[in-house]
Amino acid sequence: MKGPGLGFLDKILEWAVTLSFMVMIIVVMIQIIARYALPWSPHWTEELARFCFIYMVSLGAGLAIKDRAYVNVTTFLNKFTGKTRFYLDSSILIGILVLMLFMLIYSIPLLKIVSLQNSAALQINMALIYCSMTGMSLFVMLYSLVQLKANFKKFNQPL
Amino acid sequence: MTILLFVVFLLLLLLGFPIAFALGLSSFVFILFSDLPLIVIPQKMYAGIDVFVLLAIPGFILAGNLMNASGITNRIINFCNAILGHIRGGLGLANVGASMLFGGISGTAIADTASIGSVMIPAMKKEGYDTDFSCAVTATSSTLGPIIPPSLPMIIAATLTGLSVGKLFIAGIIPGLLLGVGLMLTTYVISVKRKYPKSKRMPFWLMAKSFYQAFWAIMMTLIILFGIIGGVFTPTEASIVAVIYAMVIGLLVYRELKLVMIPKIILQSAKMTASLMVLVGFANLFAWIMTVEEIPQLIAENLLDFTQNKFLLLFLINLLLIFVGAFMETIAALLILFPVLLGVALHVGVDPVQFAMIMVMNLVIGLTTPPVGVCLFVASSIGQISLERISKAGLPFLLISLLVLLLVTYIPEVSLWLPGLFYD
Repeated sequence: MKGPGLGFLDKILEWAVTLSFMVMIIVVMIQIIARYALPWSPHWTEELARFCFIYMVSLGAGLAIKDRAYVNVTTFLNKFTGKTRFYLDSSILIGILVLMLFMLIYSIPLLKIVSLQNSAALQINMALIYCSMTGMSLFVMLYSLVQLKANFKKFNQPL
Repeated sequence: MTILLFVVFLLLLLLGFPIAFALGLSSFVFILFSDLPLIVIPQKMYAGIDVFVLLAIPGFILAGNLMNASGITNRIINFCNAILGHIRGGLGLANVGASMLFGGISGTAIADTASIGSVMIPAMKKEGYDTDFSCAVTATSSTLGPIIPPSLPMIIAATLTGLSVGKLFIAGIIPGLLLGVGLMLTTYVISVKRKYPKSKRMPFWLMAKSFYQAFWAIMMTLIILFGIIGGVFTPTEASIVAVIYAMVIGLLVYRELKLVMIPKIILQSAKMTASLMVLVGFANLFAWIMTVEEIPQLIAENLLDFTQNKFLLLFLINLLLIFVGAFMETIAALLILFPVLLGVALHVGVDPVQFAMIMVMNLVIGLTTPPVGVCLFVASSIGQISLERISKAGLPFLLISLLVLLLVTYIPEVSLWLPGLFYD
């Protein structure tokens, strides 16, 4: 079951997520091949694969809200319809919004702290990797807002 | 104060919050009322997913999805039907057999219920099997998926404790086979009693042909296993090798997979991974708060105060886990409880690998018990019958699963003998 999306942003995120996954696959393949077929093993493969993975997850987290891919217990939820269900669904989305808002706000000082260090192998500033957390909060918030709006619209429609 | 963490979590869980966010929000509320800084939210989320072994999860999910798109499900089912179909209850037996083979490709039970169920449940109904029986066989046998390697819960258990993924994978082989054979026997006995049909014995050349078709799927499991055991590659690398292998087989051997389908399958697998990893990240935050508040020690002390008897303690832990498994999703329960209970198990001399096996078996049994058995939900929606009816029809299978669980719990060799041959 899919919820409403954000058009152009959906497309960008979908491509970014697919690309991160592909790069991750290629990098791990390089790691294996290099170990057996090349005289040297690149020391950056594990780190790069991990960073691709983190970005894939962060950028995909919002899309997963749209796809309703997060597992929940629906036994109780499904007992309700109409107004009560609307309030329950909305409070779930608002709860997610509040949590992710705080994660977004507090990811900023975290970026400042980690910007003092570079990654071990690739020497990338760690703030660039940690800002995936800012992105994750932002995209999950955006998609929760869209679902919330759709929920309200559905509720206000005359039956 | 600590009680707040659990009360909020359980309340949100019950209200239907996604488990990932129920963990995050309850941690958030706890932090607000404590002197812990809020910056730990993004920090623990990052730390939770910044683990190389976890990369094996999207790898195995993608490999499974690619194999599925290549039409592997039908080939596995055909093969199992060719060798088991002539026995009474043949389709039911083939259902269990297919789950065993499929378990060597996918690492989750739900994928197994959905793909095998959508083919097998209608086919069994058409042949005259009762719908509730068909659904119950499908749902129960799919719990073999996370027990037979590769297994996502085992990867998570390894990440949590630093145990070797390879060792955990191999530990699952014998319990998986035992459970598979047990479920087949149950199916056979019920089939004889209810006079379910059997089909004609297939000519040898047809059997050989169906074996060749399923051979590539079996090879994938073997490559993963022997690659890891032989130290040829790490579990993460094995998952990526499985992806490439699945692509080659799908594109060149089965030719049902098309290049244009691949980006979509990658995206689908990535989104599935993302939702799982947000869960892992927030569970890491939740677990960190538990550690700071010394909750694991508290639970361990209380349990050990109650009894130091290994047999009784394991029995109590099993009861607790079956109860938790009936309500909670496997990976979430594993993330929260494995580190907590492992301490207790180690204290009374249980091997960590064996304990991981006990834990995973308990939690996957919960996938087929009401009220929150996801495999039951999937099977009931395919078979269009009520949860009550499947649960009732599933009782004999549940008993067999519990019996195998007892063997795993009280005979360490069941899970430790095979890894002992390859490691140490």
